[in-house]
Amino acid sequence: METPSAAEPGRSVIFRLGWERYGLPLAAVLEVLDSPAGALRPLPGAPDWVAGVLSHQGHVRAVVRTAALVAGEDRWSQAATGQIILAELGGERLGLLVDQVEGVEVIRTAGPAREDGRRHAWHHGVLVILLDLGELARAIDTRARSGGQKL
Amino acid sequence: MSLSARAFASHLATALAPLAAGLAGFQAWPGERAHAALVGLGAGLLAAALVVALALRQAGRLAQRLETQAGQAQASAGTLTRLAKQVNVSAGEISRSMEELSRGAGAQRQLIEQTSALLGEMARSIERASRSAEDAARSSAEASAVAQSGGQLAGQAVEKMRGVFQQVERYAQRVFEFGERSKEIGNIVRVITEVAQQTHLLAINATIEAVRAGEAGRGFAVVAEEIRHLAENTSRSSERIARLVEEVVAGSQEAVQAAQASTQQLSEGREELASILDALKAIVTSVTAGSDRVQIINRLAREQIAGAAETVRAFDNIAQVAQKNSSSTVGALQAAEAQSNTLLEMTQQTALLGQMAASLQAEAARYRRAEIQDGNAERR
Repeated sequence: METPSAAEPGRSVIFRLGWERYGLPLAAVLEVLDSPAGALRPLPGAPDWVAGVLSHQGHVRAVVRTAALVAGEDRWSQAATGQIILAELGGERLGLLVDQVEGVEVIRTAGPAREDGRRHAWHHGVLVILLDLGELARAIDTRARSGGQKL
Repeated sequence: MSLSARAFASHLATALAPLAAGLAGFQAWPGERAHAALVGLGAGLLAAALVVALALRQAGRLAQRLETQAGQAQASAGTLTRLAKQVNVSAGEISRSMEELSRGAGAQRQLIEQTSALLGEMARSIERASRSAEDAARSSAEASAVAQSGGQLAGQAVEKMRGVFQQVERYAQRVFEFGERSKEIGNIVRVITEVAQQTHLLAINATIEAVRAGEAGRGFAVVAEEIRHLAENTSRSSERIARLVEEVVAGSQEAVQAAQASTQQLSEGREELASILDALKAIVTSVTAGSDRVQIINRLAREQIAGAAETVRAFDNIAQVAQKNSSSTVGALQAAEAQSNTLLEMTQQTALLGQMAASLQAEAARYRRAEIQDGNAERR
């Protein structure tokens, strides 16, 4: 599947982490799943940014704490409940644990990139941080290497 | 005048003799008639002298009897005088006794009058006490009536409180039921919310699939988006309903708690009212008993008044009797004094009679002695 550029405005899945809203390009999203209590099983010995594993349609998918990747580990103490965005990053299918998926929106007015390289957009009066899939995949690789683990 | 009858007759004859001689000397008086008259006079005088002599003789016997009778009279007069003196002494004693009796009767009368006055005062005191008892009885009866009325009012209040209590209990039950229904509504809303969330999630996934389908899924993507909007609206409405239901449940819980508190207070109030009712009943019983006692006191006081009045009347009668006794005593005293005076006078008269009898006896004795001497002289 072709991965659209983060710089181009298009359809994004809007989700919430705490009070912040993020936009993930729809092209990377396969499905949105509910994560009721007990569905997500913790993985023994896994780093903190790994929420656990999820059995979905006969496959076991790793689920990462999105907040730990995009906002820093100390900033969010994300619970294991919420919703899981099943996405494909760098040829790997994995689950992104978010607080709540709010919908699919077309972000037309994306602003210039900030110092950290992220782009922001005002959508219906709400600030949305547009995530770059490449950046997210790199962050996961970096953490996996530093932790000596591979997803 | 100690002259015997015979000597008296002799003296009389001696005295009459010259008269007869004188009369005989008057034989020269002219007329036979005068002579005859004078002779007749002399004869008459002689006859009279004889009659007088006879009378003197009879007088001598009479004098003897008189002496005897005078002696007896003197003795009787002495006895009478002695008796009169004794009677006089007794009359004096009686008089003194009567005086003492009179004084005693006066003192008794005063005491009776004082006692009667005291009894009258006591009767008035009892009457005042009776009036006070009547007032107390009236007040007691009024208090009893008020207490009974209070007891009835308290009973009515208790009944009303029971009604209010039952109403509050029913109200609490209804509020509780309302709260339970609200919880049921909350459960339903929770299900609706979950359905809406699921619908929302399905709509998102439908949108994702439609986008993936490209042009073929464009129409479906629009429908999925509308469904997602509806699910979002439903979810928002469900959240609002859930909040409202939570508020209603909280309110109903507060109302139930308030009703339970009210029920508790009403229950306590009912117990207090029951205690008050019991206390009022006890007061009614006590006041009624007090009223009965006061009525008994009143009746006893009336009986005492009647008894005191009768006693006063009896003492008045006694006072009247004492007054009469005193008057009678005074009368008896006066009668005794009069009797004493009469006795004194009688004693004096008796003494005089005794003296007269003694004189008569002495005269009769002299007359008797002269007559005896004359008789002896004649016999010699």
